[in-house]
Amino acid sequence: MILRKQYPLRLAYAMTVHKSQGKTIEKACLDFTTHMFSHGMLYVALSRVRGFKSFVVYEDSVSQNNGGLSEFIEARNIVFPAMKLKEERFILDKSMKDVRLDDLSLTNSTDSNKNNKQINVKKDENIKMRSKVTFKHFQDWKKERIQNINSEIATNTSKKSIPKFKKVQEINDLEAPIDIDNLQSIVNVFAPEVIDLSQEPTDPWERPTFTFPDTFGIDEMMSIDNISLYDKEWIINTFDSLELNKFIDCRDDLSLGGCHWEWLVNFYPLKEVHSDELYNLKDSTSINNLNLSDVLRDLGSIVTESKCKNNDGWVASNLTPKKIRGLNLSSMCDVSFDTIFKQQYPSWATMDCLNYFINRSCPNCKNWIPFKGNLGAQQLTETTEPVELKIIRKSIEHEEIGKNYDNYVFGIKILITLLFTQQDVQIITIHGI
Amino acid sequence: MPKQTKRVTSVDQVVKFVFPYNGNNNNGLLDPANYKNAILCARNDRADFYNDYIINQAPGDMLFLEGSNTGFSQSDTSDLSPTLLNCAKSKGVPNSRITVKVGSLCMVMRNINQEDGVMNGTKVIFLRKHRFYIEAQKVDDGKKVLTESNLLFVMIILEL
Repeated sequence: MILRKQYPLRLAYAMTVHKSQGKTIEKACLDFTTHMFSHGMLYVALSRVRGFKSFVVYEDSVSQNNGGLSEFIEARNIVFPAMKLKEERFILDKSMKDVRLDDLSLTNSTDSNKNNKQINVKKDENIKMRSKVTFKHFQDWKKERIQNINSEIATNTSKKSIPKFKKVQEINDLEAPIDIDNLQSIVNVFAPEVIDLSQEPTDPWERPTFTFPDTFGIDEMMSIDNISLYDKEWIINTFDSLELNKFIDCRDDLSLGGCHWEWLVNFYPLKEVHSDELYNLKDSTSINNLNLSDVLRDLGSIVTESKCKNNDGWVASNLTPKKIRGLNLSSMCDVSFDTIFKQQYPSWATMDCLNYFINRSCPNCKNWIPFKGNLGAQQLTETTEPVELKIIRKSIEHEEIGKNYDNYVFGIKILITLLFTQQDVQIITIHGI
Repeated sequence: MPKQTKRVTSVDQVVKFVFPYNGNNNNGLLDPANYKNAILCARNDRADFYNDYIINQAPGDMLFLEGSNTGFSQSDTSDLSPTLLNCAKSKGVPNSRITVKVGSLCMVMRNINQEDGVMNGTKVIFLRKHRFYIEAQKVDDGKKVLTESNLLFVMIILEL
């Protein structure tokens, strides 16, 4: 048996694309003498840099003579056009699905609140208007798009600037037909789901779609069904400082990967974002595996990373409630909550966090100290009776916290101070969503 | 790939573009202004090729950081020998012999001190080689202030 010890160092003048993921580089050169071998690798490499001026591609003379890579860089439309159309439609379909309004919810308005009834009346009018407008727009757009794609194919075949790969040559033979009739025969092979290219697709596109209006206010916000009431009110409360019109176009921008616009609403105006806050969002909606921190970096905000200590002594700052889940709470004996009353209802994350504390904490933990107002660490010695803990527990189960106990524990920002048996007093601030 | 990207046809041009001479007293390869730049490669062997090329051109004396292999008895007749192990290269594992010059840009490959932010992938300037440890300085983003936490002392190895 040989024991090897060595310095964990490496020269960093050149690094692999995988290693560079998540870093911003001011000037970069991409070495193109070897192939990119995994999906999305080129995108990662290209998106490390802020502009084209600070980016250069290096090609070997060998690879140039082979003609593979240099032509690959200039290849315009390798993707088979019918597949490309289908992909575009798929992306559009996906992007509209998220914000789509259900028709059923309009007819079955079983909400007892007065507010919801008023909102539903407004919903009907708005949706009728919007659905007519958007569908016409979409039809026109689609016709233009098909014409453009056909013209692109025509120009490409005339110039004969099609790459010389072996695999692509097979498709070259297929790419000769330009007319829609010929395309149809190929579509039947490759994309049987697209039935007729010449006719308008009927079924998936005739539903009412939701597009953001020019002005986005409280009414429009409340008319979205996918978000729960709690979150809606919280978003509305934070609207004042935000300019929502900036986010209208975010969904159509494919470079954002179909990013959920609420995330951007939350974090776009911030120039500095903590990665823990992003961590929360990723878990909350499992829509896609988008690297949010990358997106935010592209938007120009600075994403700082967390400073967590070792596993044993978990002295941590700026912990999110979700991240506390992974930690060991057995050594914790006293817990106290502190709140700032900016919000009437708690978000789901803070409730989850409290549930976790109640269920997983040390059985010796008896002193639960729900505070009113903003307290410092000095007032930790004040203890209250454990009766108030029961109140918390009940309220979480019945989800009536906001109504009955809104003066109590919950808020946007929860400051939880933890007392350890052996260690000193540590303060952990928890920012709820 | 977008059309605006420039192309470069020799390794010299690559190095001059990414690590240019900024008019300081420093060479371009050892200039702190260039420490946020990098060459991106698809594979590790290409990255090693560039690193070797650059470290040969940088001014200064070569320093070798060698790994130590203990527990090997010469009576052992198995196929595994330290010389064979030293040849092994793989991703995530640093090479057994690292050539470095003072002021060159390095990267830490293990989580050493998470509190101060010295983790896998952080860039570091090599300062000095001691008998049992090496001294390096963290490259901060934007801020070029030297504080105590900015200095890290890496002690991993006993040199032979």
